Amino acid sequence: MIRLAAKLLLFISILLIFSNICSYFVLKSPLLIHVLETRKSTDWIYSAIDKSKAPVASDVIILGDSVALQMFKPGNSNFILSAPATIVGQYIVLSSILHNKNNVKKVILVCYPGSLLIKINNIYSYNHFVKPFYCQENKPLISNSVEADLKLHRYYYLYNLPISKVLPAFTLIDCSQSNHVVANESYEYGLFIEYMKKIIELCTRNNVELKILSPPVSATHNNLFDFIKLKKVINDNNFNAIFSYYFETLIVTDDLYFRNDHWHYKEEYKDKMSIEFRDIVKRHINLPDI
Amino acid sequence: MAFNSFSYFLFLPAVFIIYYFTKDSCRWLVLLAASIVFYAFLKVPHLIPILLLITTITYCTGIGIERSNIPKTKCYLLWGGIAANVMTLVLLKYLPFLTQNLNILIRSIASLIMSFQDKPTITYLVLNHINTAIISIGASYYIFQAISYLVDIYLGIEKAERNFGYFALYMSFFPKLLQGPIERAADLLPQLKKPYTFSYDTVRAGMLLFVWGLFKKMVIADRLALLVDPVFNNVHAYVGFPLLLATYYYALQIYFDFSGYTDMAIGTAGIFNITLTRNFNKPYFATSIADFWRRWHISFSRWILDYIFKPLQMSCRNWGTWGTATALLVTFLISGVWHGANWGFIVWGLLHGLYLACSVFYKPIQKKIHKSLGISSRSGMYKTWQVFFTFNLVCFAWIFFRANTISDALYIVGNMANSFSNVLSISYLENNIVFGKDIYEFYRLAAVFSLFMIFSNYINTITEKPAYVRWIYYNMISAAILFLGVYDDIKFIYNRF
Repeated sequence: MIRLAAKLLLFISILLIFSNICSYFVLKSPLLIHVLETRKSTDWIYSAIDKSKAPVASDVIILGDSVALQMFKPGNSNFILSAPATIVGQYIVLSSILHNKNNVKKVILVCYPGSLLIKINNIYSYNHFVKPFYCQENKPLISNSVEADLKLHRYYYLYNLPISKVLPAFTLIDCSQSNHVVANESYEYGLFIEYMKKIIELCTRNNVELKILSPPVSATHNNLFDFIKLKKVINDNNFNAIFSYYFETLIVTDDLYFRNDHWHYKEEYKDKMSIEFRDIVKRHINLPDI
Repeated sequence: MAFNSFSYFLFLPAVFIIYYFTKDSCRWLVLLAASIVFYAFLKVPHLIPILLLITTITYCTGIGIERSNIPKTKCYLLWGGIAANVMTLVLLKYLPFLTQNLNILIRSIASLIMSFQDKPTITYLVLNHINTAIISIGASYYIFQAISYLVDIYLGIEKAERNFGYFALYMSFFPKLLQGPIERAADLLPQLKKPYTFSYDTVRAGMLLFVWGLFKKMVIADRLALLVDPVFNNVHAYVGFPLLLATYYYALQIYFDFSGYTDMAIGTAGIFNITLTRNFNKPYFATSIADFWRRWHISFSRWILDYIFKPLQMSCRNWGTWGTATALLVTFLISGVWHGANWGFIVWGLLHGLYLACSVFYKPIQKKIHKSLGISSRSGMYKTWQVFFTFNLVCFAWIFFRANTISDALYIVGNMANSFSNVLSISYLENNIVFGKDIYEFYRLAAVFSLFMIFSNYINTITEKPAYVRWIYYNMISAAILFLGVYDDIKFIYNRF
């Protein structure tokens, strides 16, 4: 029995080293990354990260979440459409964009109400945040409170290993709680305030005008989401200027157009939502033709 | 609790450690408690009381049959026990199906005999359809075990078990509870009673088999499911080659899924020094349908052979060849019904019955044809043809087994041979071999099957290789599961039967 236990321990250690070495080479190989599905279902996040590091010709940048992604043409190189879960991901993408691009004059952040407030330790955090954003390069942008939230996760200590950037495995465990992020318990105002201040400070430092808008929301989300509290938080923290059009342009529409998560649009209604959104926003902001 | 779930990876070592440090006289208790916890993890509240009910009824009936000296009483007890088991199975699995089809029948008859004005009253005749899907996970397996136990006692092949604990463990032993193998009391009960001796080699072999099963399930079967499910769930979107390919993919998926589960079950039992029945023996290399059933789901086919086919054949023996053919047809019809309350399963069972019934008549003619054409049944070419032909017959039946409805199955059958003119063009194959998914899906599939070929070459002989080869093998297979496994929580196909 002792022999078995010792050998098992040795095997697990060797497997950990072996799989990390394999992962290191996988991360270096674009073909293996695709074959092994390391970016399964989150390609758009990696695409946003890549775009944020490349030169941008336009002076208007649009950032957004996965709902916004449904309304814009992701192929257009002038606009960086990301969908990083949490406001922290948006901040990291924005930092990367503004790092070298001085010609950017305006940033429009299109975020679903729930998406602004989503907790760092949510059901998508492994695939949407840890894998693409939690790396040495981004550590200076990640605050202690975010670190503290991530530490709550049972695999936190594996997050810096190459294998954590390759495996799709942890998603299964992450998603065991719930498939929907509609309940108010999923939201974190502290993180929103902290990172909204960072975003405003970043934009001010780079002389960039920032506006935040919401894509059309479902009736269910509208009923479940605490807008009064959000307005109060915006007011208390002097975020009114950047949220000046957020509530004015907010379209609440029938659940019929939405998937079961009450966030994302059904394929057949994507264009309809996009047209409605642009119609109402154009009255307030000079939105480029996207 | 599924074998490929994270909770099982914690559960199994915990049970093994407790089992190892427990006295021999109490070890059965550890396994019984583990089996109950394992079953309870499915979070379906009625499952454990039903298992307990079946166990108690079968235990008492078994003792009753053995104690009784009057043949008539023995017979009544046997049929009573069987009826109780079958009724439970019917209630669990077939009630929604029966009410649904009875309603259709009542509606049709009523609309024929009533005038147009009376039609609204038809609704009052219709039975309350049972919408609640009553989950019966594992019930078909342990109920079949219970029936075989009672019949064996009645026939004097087996003695009734007096210790309720051992009997309950025989019924509920967790590695085989959800999907079999269907174990006979004579094989399993003595193993549960014998003292446990730890053997490093046995535990290692069990763990290796478990990991091999996990590879089959998570890397091959679940990857094929990602291709098969979209086609079978929307058959009308496809014509020709994709339908044919999806049928072949499904044949592979169901084999890797079920044999993967069985390997994990045998591997788990092996860790506790318990040998379960081998359920598969390269079924797609069978040279006839009869041979296929000697290689596929072996514990189940032995069960239906011993407890359905043989008694039926005996009762129809006066009809000669027709009697055997009828017995085969009825046996496989029951086999189809056992799989679930669905017309697809019934047609699947009937097709296999028909294949076998036809072979009974064809065999004497076949010999004459071979003789006149000078075909040697031992030639490699002929055997290859037999394997190919059998495989295609089996695949044809799988269409009805997998399709969501009979009309979907008929659509596949009617359209799978259309539009084959482009099949030989490379661009057509590139687009259609993975049903229009990106080319990486094709690479993944190629990688998965290459690894399977490499690993399966060594699986039986790896323990004889030098230590460094063994360790490379273990790491490779584990890394393949980690990197190429599908983590989408795809259920085992045979879990629902």
